[in-house]
Amino acid sequence: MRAWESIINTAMLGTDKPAPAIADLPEEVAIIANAIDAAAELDKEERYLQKAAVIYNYRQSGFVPFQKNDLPVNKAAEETKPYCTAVAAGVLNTILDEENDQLLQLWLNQCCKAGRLLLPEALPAVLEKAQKDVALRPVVIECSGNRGVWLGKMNPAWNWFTTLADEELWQTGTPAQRTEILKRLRQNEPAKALEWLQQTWEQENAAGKLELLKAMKVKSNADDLPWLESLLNEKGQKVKDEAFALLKSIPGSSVIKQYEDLLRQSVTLKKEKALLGLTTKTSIQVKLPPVVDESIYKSGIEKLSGPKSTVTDENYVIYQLISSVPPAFWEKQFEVAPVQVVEYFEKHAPAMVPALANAVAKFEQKNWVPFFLGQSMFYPDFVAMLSAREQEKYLLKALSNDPQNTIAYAIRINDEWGTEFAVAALLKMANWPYEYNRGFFTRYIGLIPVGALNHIENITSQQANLQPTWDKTRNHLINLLSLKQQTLKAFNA
Amino acid sequence: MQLTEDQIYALAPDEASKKAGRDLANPAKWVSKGINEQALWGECQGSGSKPYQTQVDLSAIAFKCSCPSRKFPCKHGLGLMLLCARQPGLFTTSAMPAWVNDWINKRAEKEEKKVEKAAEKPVDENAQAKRQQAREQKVSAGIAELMVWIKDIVRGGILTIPEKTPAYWDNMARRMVDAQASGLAGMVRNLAATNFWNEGWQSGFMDKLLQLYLVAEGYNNIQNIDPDLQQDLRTTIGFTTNQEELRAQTGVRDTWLVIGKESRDEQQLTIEQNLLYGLKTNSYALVLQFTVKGQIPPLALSPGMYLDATLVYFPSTVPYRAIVKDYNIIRQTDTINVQTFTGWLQVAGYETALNSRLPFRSEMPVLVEALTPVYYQKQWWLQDSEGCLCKISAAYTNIWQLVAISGGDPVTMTVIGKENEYRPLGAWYQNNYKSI
Repeated sequence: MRAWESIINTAMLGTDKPAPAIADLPEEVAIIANAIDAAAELDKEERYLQKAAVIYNYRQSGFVPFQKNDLPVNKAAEETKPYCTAVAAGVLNTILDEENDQLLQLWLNQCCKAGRLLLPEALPAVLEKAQKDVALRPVVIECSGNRGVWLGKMNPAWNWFTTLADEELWQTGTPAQRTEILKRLRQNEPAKALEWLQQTWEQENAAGKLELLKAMKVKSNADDLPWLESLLNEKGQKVKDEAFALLKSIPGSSVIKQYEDLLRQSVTLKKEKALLGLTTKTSIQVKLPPVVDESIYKSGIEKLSGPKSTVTDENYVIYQLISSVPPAFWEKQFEVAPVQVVEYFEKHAPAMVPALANAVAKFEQKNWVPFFLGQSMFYPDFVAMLSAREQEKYLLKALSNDPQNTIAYAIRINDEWGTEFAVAALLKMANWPYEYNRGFFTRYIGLIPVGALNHIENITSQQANLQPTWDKTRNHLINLLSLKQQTLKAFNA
Repeated sequence: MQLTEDQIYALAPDEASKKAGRDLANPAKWVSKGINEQALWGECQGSGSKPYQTQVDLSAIAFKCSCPSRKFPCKHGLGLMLLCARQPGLFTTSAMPAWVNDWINKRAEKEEKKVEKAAEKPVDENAQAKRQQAREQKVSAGIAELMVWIKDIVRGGILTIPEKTPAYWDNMARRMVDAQASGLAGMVRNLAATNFWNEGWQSGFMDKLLQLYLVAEGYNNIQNIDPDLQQDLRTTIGFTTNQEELRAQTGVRDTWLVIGKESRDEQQLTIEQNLLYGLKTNSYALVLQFTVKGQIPPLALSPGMYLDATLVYFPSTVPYRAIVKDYNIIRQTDTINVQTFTGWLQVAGYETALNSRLPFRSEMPVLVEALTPVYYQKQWWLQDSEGCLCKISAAYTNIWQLVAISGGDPVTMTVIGKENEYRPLGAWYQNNYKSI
């Protein structure tokens, strides 16, 4: 509005400076302005202020909204799935206020499972979470419905609803996206993933090569061997090291074959007649051949056990070699079934049993695991390889001997603990309330089953001075478990 | 109980109370609990040997708790209400225990005594008139100084205003406080609060300066103007209105919807603005509450609440600020029958009428139907069914929630602002009024 602009221009310079006449005044306002100008008793500041006050009110009273009828219609498509219930939405609000990502993930998983959608009002908060936490995105996308897709198109920060096809993303995406694609493809079609990587390998830079190679760990198999072996001639040392590390995890690779050859000579089963030939005495002989190919020591096998070690250098080398070959090797070497292999080692070379267990874990030989479970030693790597029931039994056994380490291993599990183990672990945790504090339970609430709620009131610290601290933590845990219970109830009622 | 979880959270004094209240909304924490038409009560096991006795007067949302907390409402009150809102089935209707009954009766007695006391209080009219005269003289003297100050600003030009030190503004604000014109002091501070980094700050600054001038100059001519406008000037300057006298008036009885609630802290004072809309009378009201820390505010309202209440407006050419004479919280009426503005043109007409009566009025809320948030020219707008657009204020931070609720469809909303810029306050969403 020009009249108002004139007022502002005069205000900027001050009434001391000569000002042009006020532009574009309508007749009614001009009459008032003229009357003000004609008032002899007013000084020029007052004249200005009075005219400005009139024009100010003229401006604010004469406002006409801006009209635009041809804006494109931008509406979210109708939803095809039902929304979640008001109860479930209430629980979600509490979870968001609590800022607990574990419970949010659980809520979203349950929502997806029930085929429901987030209420539109909750979308911004949840999309904001998923913007920061990429792992949440698949479930968020599923629970957001068409409203979410629509919002994703409007807000560039949430523009991850519609992704390009994998192949297009592989060719044009960011390094992180490409690594992610490769991992995903590797999970379902390992051969295709290998093919894609081989096609672009020469164009990748050293850092890219390293990251992509790391993604090839997923479902690595014998088909990868020729190509991985060829990478040992790469220029970049880190790429070479990574390729070598991968080769060491694939049975049949040259390096593993080399280890197996050496072990064939170093660890042998001896059967001798005893008691005038009435019985057979079996023993395992552990001894390196007089000449060992020095290249073994360049492949990651340490030659010396260290000055303070009680293990001889020779045994240490053999221990490492046993840890590095697939356990199936021993079936051939000893010509016996796995159960007997473990028995022989336990009986005749007990110091090497942990090495064999390492190999079982490294090559994920689940069928070998049961043969170790009866041993007094606890193998944490086996926990993830057991069924839920076996897992609970195994952890319970370990918990009584070494509670803190067992809990440390148990939190690495992805699935929820059994109630029996959870209660037993909580009984132990109550004695270290500063270590297992609110933050701990916030982070690991996903692992603690709702069933623990029935027992939690009876879980107390053995030390009276720690009880008040534990009480506070326990209250927090009760709240989290209640939220978890409400979430499950809201979707499974 | 009529309150939703959102409304209960809106009563919390701070974030920590919300969280603590949420933790207490757990049946295991409550040794006993009950409800009837008048009250909600429960005993919460805290760290002490005896459980805390928590009670809520449901007809006027007032709280009492035996815990030592100075927060109001305390976490126990919030927790109890949240639990009742979430799991009403846990609360059985029963007779009030003695401790609840005593409190409810005492509240009623207190209310009666207050009325009697007010009626009994003798007024020394002579002394009152003398005090009034002395104050008016002080205000006039202050306004004379203010006028010189305003003229100095326009004489020298506002180009160098952003360079002024805080003392420049503070001195004049203090002078206005000395002159017993706290309203003018606030307006001077508001001038100083202009964001001089913003492009086009000059227009907003001049708006505020001219409002200040209009009030000051209006007071100089107060004898010649309409009595209601005189009241507006006096109120804006900082003269108080006797609320007991207001309370004695009949007032406007209506079903009032709380359409917005905003609080701000000023020095030691918390100023709470409750915006109300009368469903039958189609009128808007602002109910202010001033509380010092630790003091219990008489009203506990939250957006979306419906009140059957009598409001008395302060005398004004544009009645807006009001006091609540009496009220009862009621359940939401089944069908929402609000009379809304049909579009921005109608709003502009309404505002023009208001501006013609009171050019220095503050922003007032309006209820507009079928507004759609649209993004156009790198800016969010609200478009009405005729295609007219008004900007959404840049200070509005919940834009994505509004957009998510709308989904591109028009929404009936309450907005507050002026001319072509508004800030959304709330919207009707799934048949409920929701603060956004």
